[in-house]
Amino acid sequence: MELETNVVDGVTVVKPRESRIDAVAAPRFKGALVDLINAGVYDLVLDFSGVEFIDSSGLAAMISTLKTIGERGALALAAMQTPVNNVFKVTRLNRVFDIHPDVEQAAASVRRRSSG
Amino acid sequence: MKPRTGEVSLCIESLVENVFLVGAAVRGICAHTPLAPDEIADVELCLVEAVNNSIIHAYGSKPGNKVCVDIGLDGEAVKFRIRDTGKTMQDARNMTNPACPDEKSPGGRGLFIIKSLMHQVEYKRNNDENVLTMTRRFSRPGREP
Repeated sequence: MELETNVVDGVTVVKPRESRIDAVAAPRFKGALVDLINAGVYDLVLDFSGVEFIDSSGLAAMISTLKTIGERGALALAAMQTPVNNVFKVTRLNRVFDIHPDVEQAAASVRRRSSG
Repeated sequence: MKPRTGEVSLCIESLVENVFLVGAAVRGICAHTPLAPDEIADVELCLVEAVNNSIIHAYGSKPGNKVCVDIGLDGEAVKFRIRDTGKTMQDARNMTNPACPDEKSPGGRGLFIIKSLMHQVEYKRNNDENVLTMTRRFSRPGREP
């Protein structure tokens, strides 16, 4: 999957260029994120402002990304649209992921957790 | 205004690339019901999960098979029947009473999502067919008086 990346004060902000993270897009999404992590990018914000739909395949890709980063860095999610946010709530993954209303707050959280 | 009623069936080949078509159709149909936009998003998600389940688990991701979805509006609810002729669910109880997966487990959330967002879920094996029935009433789960 094509990702738009932007580095802000040491935190890489990644924005998927597709509006659906479903069973078709999830493997490509996961692959693109793993490529970034393997290239040494461990402090990540995922900007979900353009994502309108995510299913359990997309959630699985997210959990896998979180595990791949592990203790090496920090991951935060930002700017989720309501339907996507609801999927995280219903699956209780809002307790697992660090979720913020906007990219700036998410990046500040990543910086804090990564330096702590 | 009284909600409209009717039934329609659609079938896709067992490819995950086709599933968005079912989602788009369901979204369009639900737009003619009293469901709010966030509820329509819930319904679309459940349909996508159910059809993915047929393709990935019942057919083992093999193309060339059919998944059919019957959609009915009865004025009080939207009802779905998802049908495939793939392998039987090993444990049918998983279909109607799925456990919430471990928070850090990557998979196994599809059925839990369906059960959480639909008012009624039932699985049956009819002859050679898996039939998953799901109902979403025009009121939110757990919010009825």
